[in-house]
Amino acid sequence: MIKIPVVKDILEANERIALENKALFDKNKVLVINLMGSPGSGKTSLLELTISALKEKLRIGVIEGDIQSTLDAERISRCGAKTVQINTHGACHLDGNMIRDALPSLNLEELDLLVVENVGNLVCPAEFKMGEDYKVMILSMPEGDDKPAKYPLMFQESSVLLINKTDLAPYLDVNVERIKGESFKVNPRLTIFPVSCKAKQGLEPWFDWILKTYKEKMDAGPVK
Amino acid sequence: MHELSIAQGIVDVVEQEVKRHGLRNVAKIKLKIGELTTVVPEALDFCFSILVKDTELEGACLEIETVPIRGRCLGCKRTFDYKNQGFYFLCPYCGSEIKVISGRELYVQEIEGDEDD
Repeated sequence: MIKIPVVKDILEANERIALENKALFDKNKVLVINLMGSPGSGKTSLLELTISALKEKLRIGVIEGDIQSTLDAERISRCGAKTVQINTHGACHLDGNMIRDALPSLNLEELDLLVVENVGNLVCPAEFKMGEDYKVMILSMPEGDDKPAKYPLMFQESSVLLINKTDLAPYLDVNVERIKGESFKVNPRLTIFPVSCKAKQGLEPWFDWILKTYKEKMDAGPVK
Repeated sequence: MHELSIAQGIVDVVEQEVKRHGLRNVAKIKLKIGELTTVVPEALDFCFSILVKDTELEGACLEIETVPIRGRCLGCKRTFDYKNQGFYFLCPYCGSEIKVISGRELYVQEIEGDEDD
């Protein structure tokens, strides 16, 4: 019997594929956002509004991740974005490999912004890189203010947190400030936007963030 | 349930190493898994046993070392155990931002098996 010391990252293969995806996105000057959140938090509604608001300024593509059905992809393509549906058939998250397989269906040269809508889940998507520039998460107010403490990894991995359904605030025991405070305790670097997709409120700062971030990526110049 | 993807990652890493070192009858695979990854050891064992059924890794057992989440304060530089301070990622001494120094691990550490003759 012999012992072989290894010390290798278990997700090494995924990280490698994610880096290859990232290189492809950078070469084609596409800003890539990995949008994560619980089922029903408002990921697809946010995307619909974002596409409608920005489609004159940016050429937008969407990869829709769902366990099954093409319901979300149909909603998104009605907004005028190039959409690819990935059905994971049970898997609870998207990974680098699935994104790589979806890319031939998108012409990256014709895109400025690619949003990947992950499978609704607060746990698993946080662990798997896909080559994105930013992870963005959306939490709806009815989910409560204990989510950052319960699901810290997703809050830590995210650059932006959208707090959705602020229109429901009068009916809830939580408030925006408290959710913000709890989120900052887990990740003080978060950029937070309280929004209501239903009432179409508070969305301008989020749209501006995308435009600013896109410009920053373009200004960074050609990638080596 | 990200354990299945993680179990597949373990199989991929171990198969590579088995080939490289000419191993057979892999008996034990030592893993280092941080608590921040929220991997459930029982679920990982279960997924692994399904993936290796009827392969050369069948029968290998996973030995999981769980690594607690620890932080180092970026302000006062003290280190602390995250569980002892209410599951927040802020320094319990001065309230400053912290750096997570352990808890994110997801490694294959060591493989035990027989050498190929």
